[in-house]
Amino acid sequence: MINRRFLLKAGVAGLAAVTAPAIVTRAQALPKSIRIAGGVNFAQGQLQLTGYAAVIEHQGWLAAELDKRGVALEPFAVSHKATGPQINEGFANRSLEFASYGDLPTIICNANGVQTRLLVPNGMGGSGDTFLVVPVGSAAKDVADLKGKRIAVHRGRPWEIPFFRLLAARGLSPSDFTILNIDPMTGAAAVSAGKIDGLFTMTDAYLLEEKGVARILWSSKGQGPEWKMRTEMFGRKDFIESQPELTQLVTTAYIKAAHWASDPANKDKYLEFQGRTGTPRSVLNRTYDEQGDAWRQRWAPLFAHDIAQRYQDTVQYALDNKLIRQRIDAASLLAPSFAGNALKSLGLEGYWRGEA
Amino acid sequence: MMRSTLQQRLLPLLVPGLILATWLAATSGDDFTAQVLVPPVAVLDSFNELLASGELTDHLRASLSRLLLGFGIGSGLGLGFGILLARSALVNDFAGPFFQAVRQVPSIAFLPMLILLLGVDEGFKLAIVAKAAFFPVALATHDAVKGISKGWLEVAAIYRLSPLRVLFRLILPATVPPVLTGLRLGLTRAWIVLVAAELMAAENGIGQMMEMGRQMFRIDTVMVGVALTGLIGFALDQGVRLAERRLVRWKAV
Repeated sequence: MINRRFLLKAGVAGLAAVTAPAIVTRAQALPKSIRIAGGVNFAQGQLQLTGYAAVIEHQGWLAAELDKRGVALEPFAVSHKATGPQINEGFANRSLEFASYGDLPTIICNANGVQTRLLVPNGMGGSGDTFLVVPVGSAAKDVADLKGKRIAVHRGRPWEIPFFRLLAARGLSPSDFTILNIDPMTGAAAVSAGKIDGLFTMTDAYLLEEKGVARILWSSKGQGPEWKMRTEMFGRKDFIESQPELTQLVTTAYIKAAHWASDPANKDKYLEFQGRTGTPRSVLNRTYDEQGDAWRQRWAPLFAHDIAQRYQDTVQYALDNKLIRQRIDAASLLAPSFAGNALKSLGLEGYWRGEA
Repeated sequence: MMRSTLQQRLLPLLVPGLILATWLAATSGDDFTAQVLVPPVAVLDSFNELLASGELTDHLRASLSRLLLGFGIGSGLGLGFGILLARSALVNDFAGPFFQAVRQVPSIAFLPMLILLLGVDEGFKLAIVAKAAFFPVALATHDAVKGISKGWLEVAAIYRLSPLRVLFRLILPATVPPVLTGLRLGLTRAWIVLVAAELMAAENGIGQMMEMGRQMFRIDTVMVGVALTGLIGFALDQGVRLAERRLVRWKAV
């Protein structure tokens, strides 16, 4: 696609003066397909759906609604090694319309001129707990004991925010450590081999602990939402504006999925979906240990008051640490009207506690 | 004469020039957003900014010192091993087939193993750079020493030259051209592998600058890294070529 356009462009380079923008008419006609990332991975050589993507496929509602309109639903696979960058690149070259991913990567995306909007917040943050793990032989009892040592954290990922918050809470700064920017798989290997002194990561920490190769030194489990990472559903702004009806369908499908998954009767089935990428059941049981009402609240897709604050804090963090150069208006990232419509049309107002 | 030097000077610039013109043209319209295809001016701005802040110099210093050290170790071992492999039947019997087999595995494939063994610090980067340099140098040295005319060695034997004199007066001068080619190959391979290793795990260095650029969606930074990696690789190659021309002047006479 790019190549063809590139060649075309090269051909008319001599007549550069008369180049007219090729895409002027952004037709309101429906696209052939919509592509959604998040919970779409390759595992054991096969495309595997987990999380919302799995529930939405299981319910079949979104695919059927889109089919009525002649639009196909395409899962967009990304690698766990570079989820944020691949999704941002997909938004930038318009090969992607929607994605469930982190708050920090989407802020990075917006600060660089590709606009996204938050459509469905993710309750307790999906699988949003964060962990600091150390090699099994480590004598460290607190993150402060790792001062001067090497800690790996994949930069630009959503768990970077709670990590730096943890350091700040202990009166420490990143410069007190050697911070290594390594992807989660390489980081896990390095901490297992004792070649780094700490790894800040997400629930794969349970797996490392169960294998007996690492020890969890700190976790956000049971702590306030500011210690968890946020991954939630975003849409590309220009697509949302040109296709509000399709955006509403996708948003409604996500909230339908949250409703289904929040029913404790479906929890077992949900954990089955989550196991598709090879995560053992024991790890899933620890990751998703909420019961009853807590389980239902975990799925609350509500724009609670703390979300705006959280996004403001994250923008400020990104600026302070020079991850972004341009300040963006955090409040403008939130687009709550689609979720509000969905809750109303599905009769789910008041189903979850909290403000909508 | 005049025309041919002009040709020599200008023709190599033609393709890069065309690419640059196409790049400029492609980014001047509305077809590509700056996030998909960064305009050349933005890359230049980013370069100046990285240079002014001192960040680029730090990255370059880190990368080039890794390259120098790793290449020094790898090529030194390669030279020694290559001579041994060619001159000693015993070494050849012991290590020859293994050497030929390991040589076939791309250096990058050793990365995960090296990280487990050596950690993510300098050790694994030096090891992989040394590995990348070792094999082309060892191979070129081996072939060069093997390629020395039997007649010369026989003459040396007749004159009963000491092994040291054979090494300095015969083997070294006769093998300089092919060994230099091996060194040149080793150096550029080492550079490529180093940048790849830094992309994967490093605190700093030109590869890490690109990786961080991608994570922060700063494609301009990535492009600065791409351009510099190419230019540095080119300069290294040309540098050894220049040394080659100087050292083998005797050949042309």
